[in-house]
Amino acid sequence: MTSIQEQLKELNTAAVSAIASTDNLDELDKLRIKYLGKKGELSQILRGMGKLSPEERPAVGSQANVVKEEVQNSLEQRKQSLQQAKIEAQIKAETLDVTMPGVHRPLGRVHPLNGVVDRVLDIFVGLGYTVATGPQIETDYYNFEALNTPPDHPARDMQDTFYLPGGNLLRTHTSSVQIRYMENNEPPIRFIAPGLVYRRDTVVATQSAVFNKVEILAIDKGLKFTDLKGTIKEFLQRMFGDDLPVQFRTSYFPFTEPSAEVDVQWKGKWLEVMGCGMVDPNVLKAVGYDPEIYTGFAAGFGVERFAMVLHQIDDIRRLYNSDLRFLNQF
Amino acid sequence: MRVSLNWLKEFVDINMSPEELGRVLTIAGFELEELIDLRSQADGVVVGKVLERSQHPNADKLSVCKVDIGAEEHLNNVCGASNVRADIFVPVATVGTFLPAINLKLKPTKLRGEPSAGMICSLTELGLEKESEGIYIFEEDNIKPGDDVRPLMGLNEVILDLATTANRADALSMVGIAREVCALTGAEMRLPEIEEQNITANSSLKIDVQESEACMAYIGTVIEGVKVEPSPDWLKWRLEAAGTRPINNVVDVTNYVLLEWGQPLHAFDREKLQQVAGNSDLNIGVRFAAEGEKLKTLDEQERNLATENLLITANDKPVALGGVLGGEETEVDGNTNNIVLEAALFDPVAIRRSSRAHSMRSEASTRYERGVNQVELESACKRAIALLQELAGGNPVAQGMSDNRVDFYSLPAIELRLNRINHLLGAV
Repeated sequence: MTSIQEQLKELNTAAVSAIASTDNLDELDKLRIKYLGKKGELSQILRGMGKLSPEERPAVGSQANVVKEEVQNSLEQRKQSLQQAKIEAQIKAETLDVTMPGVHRPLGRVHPLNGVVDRVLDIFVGLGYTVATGPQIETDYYNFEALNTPPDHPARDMQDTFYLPGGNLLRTHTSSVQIRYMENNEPPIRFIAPGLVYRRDTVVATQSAVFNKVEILAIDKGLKFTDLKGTIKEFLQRMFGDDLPVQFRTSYFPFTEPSAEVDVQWKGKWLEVMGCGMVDPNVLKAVGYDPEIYTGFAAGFGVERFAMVLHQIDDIRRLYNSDLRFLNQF
Repeated sequence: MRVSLNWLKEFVDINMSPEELGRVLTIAGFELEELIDLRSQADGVVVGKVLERSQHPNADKLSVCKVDIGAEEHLNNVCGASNVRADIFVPVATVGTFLPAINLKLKPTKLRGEPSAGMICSLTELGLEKESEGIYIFEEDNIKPGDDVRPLMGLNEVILDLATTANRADALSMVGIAREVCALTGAEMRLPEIEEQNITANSSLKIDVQESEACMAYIGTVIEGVKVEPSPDWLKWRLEAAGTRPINNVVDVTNYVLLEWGQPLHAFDREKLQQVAGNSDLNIGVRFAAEGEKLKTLDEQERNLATENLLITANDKPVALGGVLGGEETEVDGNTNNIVLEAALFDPVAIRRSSRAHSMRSEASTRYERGVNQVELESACKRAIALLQELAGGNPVAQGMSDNRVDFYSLPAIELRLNRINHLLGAV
């Protein structure tokens, strides 16, 4: 055996064992170049062929071909098995169970308070009212003074107020929106203003220091108390049902004269649901309307109260607790 | 405002049930918050006369009594009170009676082997006291077994608890509510009769109001020789019905007139005033407090006065928070002989600021804040003097007055236009 033949045999053994122990296609390619490439080990060995005698050449040549073929085969096999393994790994990694249920996203529901506001707005918008809003941080002027409640007026005791540093306050009613709206609009006016109000009250089962109110205001030539009564009755019957007895009771608010509380007969008892009245001439004067030409009515009520009656809720605090077991029932 | 129906009926005839009256007032703007029927506290309780009392055979602390309740048969009754004895008149809850104060319906029973029918009652059991020592014993002599006890104990009463809106200062009094009832029912008003009084001024009492804008009028009356003692039952019952605690006849009269006319009054002990003033001639003034002044008020609090506090002064020394609360140093007590009675009108804003300055409200300040009827000041004052004469034996000897009221007849008339009313209210 010539030394070339020995080298070929060694190369064959080394290459086959190196290929078998590779587990990565890139390395396999590097091995191919290392052994069979143009400047690979096989080519290096075959360069020594020229030194051989013509008798030896055919045997070495045929052995070289056998080695080349064997290395190539083992490269090919290894390549296939690595590619197969790679595909299998990929398939395993990317397995998709098309029968699996989709990701669940729970559906929200309308909060009972928003539900009431939505219904109320629907009714009044149907009656031709526009929705208006105002700021929750108010000045004394909009919350009290322009509403015929000057400083030291006993009616300021009707609502204990949160005063803020700097003289502003948290509005105690949505009536402040009346003044802001009238300042920026000319009669005829019909608006409805829902919003949060604040009072310095202890939170108990029937009252909260922060609650939702809805205010309506109508200003026009020739509006009468009878118009107010008709509007309120229409609203309450749409809210609570057609056969609902409604009564108006004399009351007092600084910004309306005459004023009334409205009761509905609900489950056999008279239940106070809202306050209302004819807009006091002083309020109209405060926004520059002539009370001899224009009259109007206003009404306001607490949304929580309505929600509690409609849904038979025993404690106002349930409405603010964000307890899904409670909220899911609406 | 808690309105006693008996009291109200002195001023106006009422031909409807308390429930109906409550409903009429509610619609008119005086919401009935609660109807308290005291009659139900002793419905079925009668006067009984204990004929015999003997020791219970099986119990040391129990007595066995024979009680005449005006029926044919005398009751055999076991009583646990130590003050039960023969020959006394007592309230007896008969069998079948329900006593709401202790939530008990009476049934015939046996106590330690002795049969017992009905129950001799203490004031607690009739809802008149929180705790009682033993049974109640009548002191009246013109009563007989079987009489209903309720008229004897102030329980023949129905109270209407009415809410009053901030614009109805006039309705914070019995007279005011009576006027409202008259307006609503068409009945006639009967005001209490007030006799003319001629009390002269003299140097022992001078009224010198410095702040005439904050105090529109002040009447001071010296009443000598009052005998301070507990008020008679009828007066106590009326105050209790109105939710006011009876104290003594002098203080009770001031509270009674406050409730009747809505005019706050205050009684000072004259000698104590003289002591504070350091002079036997009193000079009563009304001014705002100076920085650093102090006053101990009737609720036993030493108050650092603010400059918004309106003061009643005796020779310039503070003696009361005008229109809010009296001072402790000049308070009427059991030893008082002579008093100075204050009947005054204060400005609503001044009183509101003064009471705010101490977060303090009283029956008086509540009324002054909303406005007291300026025209009836004299009537209320005379009424109080007459009652003090009648109930405390007082003798009015001197009166001083400062009056800066605007003459009502000179005020411009307010025109009420019928077409405007129709225009605003619409066709009914």
